[in-house]
Amino acid sequence: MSSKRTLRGIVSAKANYGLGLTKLDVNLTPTQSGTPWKDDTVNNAPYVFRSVPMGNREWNKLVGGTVAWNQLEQFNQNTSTTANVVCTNNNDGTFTLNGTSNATGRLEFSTNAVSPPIVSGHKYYGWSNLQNASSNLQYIIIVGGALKTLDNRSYAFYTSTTDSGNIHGAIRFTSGQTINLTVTGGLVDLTQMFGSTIADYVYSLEQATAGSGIEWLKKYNLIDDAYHAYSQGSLESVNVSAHVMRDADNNIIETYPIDSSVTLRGIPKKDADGNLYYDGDEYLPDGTVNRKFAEVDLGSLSWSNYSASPHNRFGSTALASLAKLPTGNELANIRCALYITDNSTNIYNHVTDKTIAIDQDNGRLYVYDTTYGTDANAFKTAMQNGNVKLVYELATPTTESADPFTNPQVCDPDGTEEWTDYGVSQGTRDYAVPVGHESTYAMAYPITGTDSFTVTANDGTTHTYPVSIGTTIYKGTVDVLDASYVSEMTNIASYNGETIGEPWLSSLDEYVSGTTPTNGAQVVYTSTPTEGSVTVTGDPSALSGVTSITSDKGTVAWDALSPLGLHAVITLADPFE
Amino acid sequence: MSTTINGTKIYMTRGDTPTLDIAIIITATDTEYTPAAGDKVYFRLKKSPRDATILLTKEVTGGQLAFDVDDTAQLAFGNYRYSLELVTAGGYHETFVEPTGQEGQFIVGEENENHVV
Repeated sequence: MSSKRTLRGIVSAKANYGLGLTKLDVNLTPTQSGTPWKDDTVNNAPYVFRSVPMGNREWNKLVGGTVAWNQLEQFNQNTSTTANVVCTNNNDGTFTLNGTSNATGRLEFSTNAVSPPIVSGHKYYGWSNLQNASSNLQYIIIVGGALKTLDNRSYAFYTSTTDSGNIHGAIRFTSGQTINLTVTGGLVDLTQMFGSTIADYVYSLEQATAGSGIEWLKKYNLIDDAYHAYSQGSLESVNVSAHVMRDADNNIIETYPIDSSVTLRGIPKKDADGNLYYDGDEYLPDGTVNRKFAEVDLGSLSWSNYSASPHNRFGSTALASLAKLPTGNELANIRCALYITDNSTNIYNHVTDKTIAIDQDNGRLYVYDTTYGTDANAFKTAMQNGNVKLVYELATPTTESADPFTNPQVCDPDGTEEWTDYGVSQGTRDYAVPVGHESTYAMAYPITGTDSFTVTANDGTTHTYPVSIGTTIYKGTVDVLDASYVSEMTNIASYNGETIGEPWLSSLDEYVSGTTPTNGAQVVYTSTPTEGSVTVTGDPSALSGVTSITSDKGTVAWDALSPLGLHAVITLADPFE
Repeated sequence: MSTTINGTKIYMTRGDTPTLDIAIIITATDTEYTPAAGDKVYFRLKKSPRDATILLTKEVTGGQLAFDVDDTAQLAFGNYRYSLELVTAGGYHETFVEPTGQEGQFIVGEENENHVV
């Protein structure tokens, strides 16, 4: 008998028999319906103080703006008795009225002699603190000694192209009024302060609807009703020392310092919707200052009288290579404390007295001011004496470095925020220049997790395996074969300062390492992994020949061993070898 | 009768100690699969395919299945079913001889002498 038997047969194993999945995991991640910090509405309205808007912000930069601040009322009337009412000058910007009037009378804040002459076409705004006073007391504007407004209000807007004489404000009362009141107020040349575009717009708003012009000004904290010292006009720019966050009870949450050595200049402008914005220098949180504007003292420049009458005007070439030139008859991006911006063609044609322009062709700075005739020396001397300054856009912007500043993301949704004006805090001015900025606001987009899903495996036919997790997983893995889960994030329905791990997701905030979400936001944060079991309907482990596996939630990771397709050849070994 | 093999059908006398060469062939390529380190090949014997009780489990080592006297000495004469299974170190499990149909037939025949242990 042969010691070694011959091959007796070959048997093929069924290719896929007994093969199954070795891995079937579903990776779950939180989802949000939108990207909260990418609000399409960019809010860049300058402000000094305001309520905190809903949602959180992502500051892009602070933006500079410059106004030609003026307050033309000098409050120099002596104490007197008018219509039996004693008007006492308290010499602090206030008068006290006391007595019972026996006729119609008025307290003029300033004497005609010290009041400035009205400028044709300029828009004026005068105010008092009479809001809570008797309706028989009202603020009025007087030009050349004549009463010009007689609305029953505590303020007045006024403009004229025919009036002559000096302009100031007054408090008017009718006969028979018993008065015991301390009053104050002010008078502003809006055209000088903001330029024609904004001044004319605000005036038109007020003419259309009484109160709407004031509302526009106050929306940006441009002018308040307080007493402000007399000023014939000076260029004042954004210059802040801190950004202050307060809670709903007005308690300071945090004060974020700003490098107060940085003056941010720019031109206030009005967008197509009538909103104020600044075109100015930019200050970024990393300390970068993109300097787009510069300031020059007109008295320091060399001036000449150009052209003979009737086109004479004063001109200087000093800024020809420095300032950005306008295109055509557009207005140059400049702001002067004394002169209103116009184009060079109008200045050549003497359209409006006391105007300034940059020539679009040669970059020459032109001023038309009939006060000085053709005497350039007299003009220069006046500029020196008046310390008249000009802010202009640079032809070539520059970059400077300043202190980085914190970009606060945490604030009380019911609180307020304000800028500390460095000039105000240092006592050099009694009004604040609104601070421009560019920021986007977070929208609330809820974060959702997963508490169940279905796995569908296609192995030639289709098999579905519903999985019930029994809890909500925001980030983690469900092992469908082992019917278990690992959860890696925890949800907080309303964040309230809890200590949370990073990274996190917020319904209101962009995640930035080292920061915390806004109170009240839904937050999902990284936490110590937790494990648990899930319920799987069906047993996918024995699936063979699987070609695809999908899930209606999360992403699927799976592995199935490929069949080798084996058979055996069995022979009897030679027992003697 | 001693041990004979017909395909995967095995006939052996109770108490015999034959050694079988087991070659695992990858059908698609007709090449032999050489078990890697950690791979295991098992022989399992049952009375019938659906019987839950495994009467004998032996490991195929070095490509050989070596029977000892005791492996079959206590078995009753008659028909049995066996399987050969490959379990790789990576967890792959394939039964390449099944205990059903024409495969995996194992017949124990009556011995002619008593073995001395």
